[in-house]
Amino acid sequence: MNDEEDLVFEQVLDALQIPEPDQTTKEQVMKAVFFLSVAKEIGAFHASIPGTLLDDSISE
Amino acid sequence: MAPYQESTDHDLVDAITQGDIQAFEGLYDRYAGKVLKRCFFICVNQEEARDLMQEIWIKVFLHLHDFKKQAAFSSWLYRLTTNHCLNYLKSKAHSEQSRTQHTSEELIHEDPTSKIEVHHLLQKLPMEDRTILAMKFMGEYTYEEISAVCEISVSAAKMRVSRLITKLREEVNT
Repeated sequence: MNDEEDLVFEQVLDALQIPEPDQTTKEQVMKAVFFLSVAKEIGAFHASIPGTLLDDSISE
Repeated sequence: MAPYQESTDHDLVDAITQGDIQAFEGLYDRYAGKVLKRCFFICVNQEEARDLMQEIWIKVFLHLHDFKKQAAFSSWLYRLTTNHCLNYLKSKAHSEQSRTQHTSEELIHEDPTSKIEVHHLLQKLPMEDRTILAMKFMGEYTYEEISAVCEISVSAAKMRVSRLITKLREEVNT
């Protein structure tokens, strides 16, 4: 890749006058990630339980 | 000193995959601003850029296991950013296209002697030009890949990039 062109592109990004991400956005992202990680753990926990234990059908 | 300040990106990725959510915060703090600017570069709308950035970070968390650490984390992140933003634009291409064209025409008829700020220049760039620049410099796509996606020849892709960079260089040096 052409380094000089990369540099120009980076300068363009630097020149964009937009505010840094705010704290609320960060909190929303972190909250979502926390819930996803909990969901992952619950999913892994369920996956580790033998299927027969989760089978709620009633045999006669 | 903030935790993880001295950790490498790959260290943080390892920690996250082992369940350390704080390490994810470390990556976020390091790259959120850069991701936001890249989103803005493609969609040229601050509100959309912020929404896209949030979606991207959630995608990062969900797909981090796909990152094989063969390249820099930033390259992987910026390619994910590029793809996510371009898919978003594609999904609303119809309305976006007409709006962008309308905006472009309006701006082109403004006083040509007035100083144009960089983000105004971006608004003037057609979506296809922003796509090409994003693919090249954010997603690190090859000219062959750009030519396939944009349905132009490889030489045309190279020429477009060169012309656009010249235009941007003039703008940032103004």
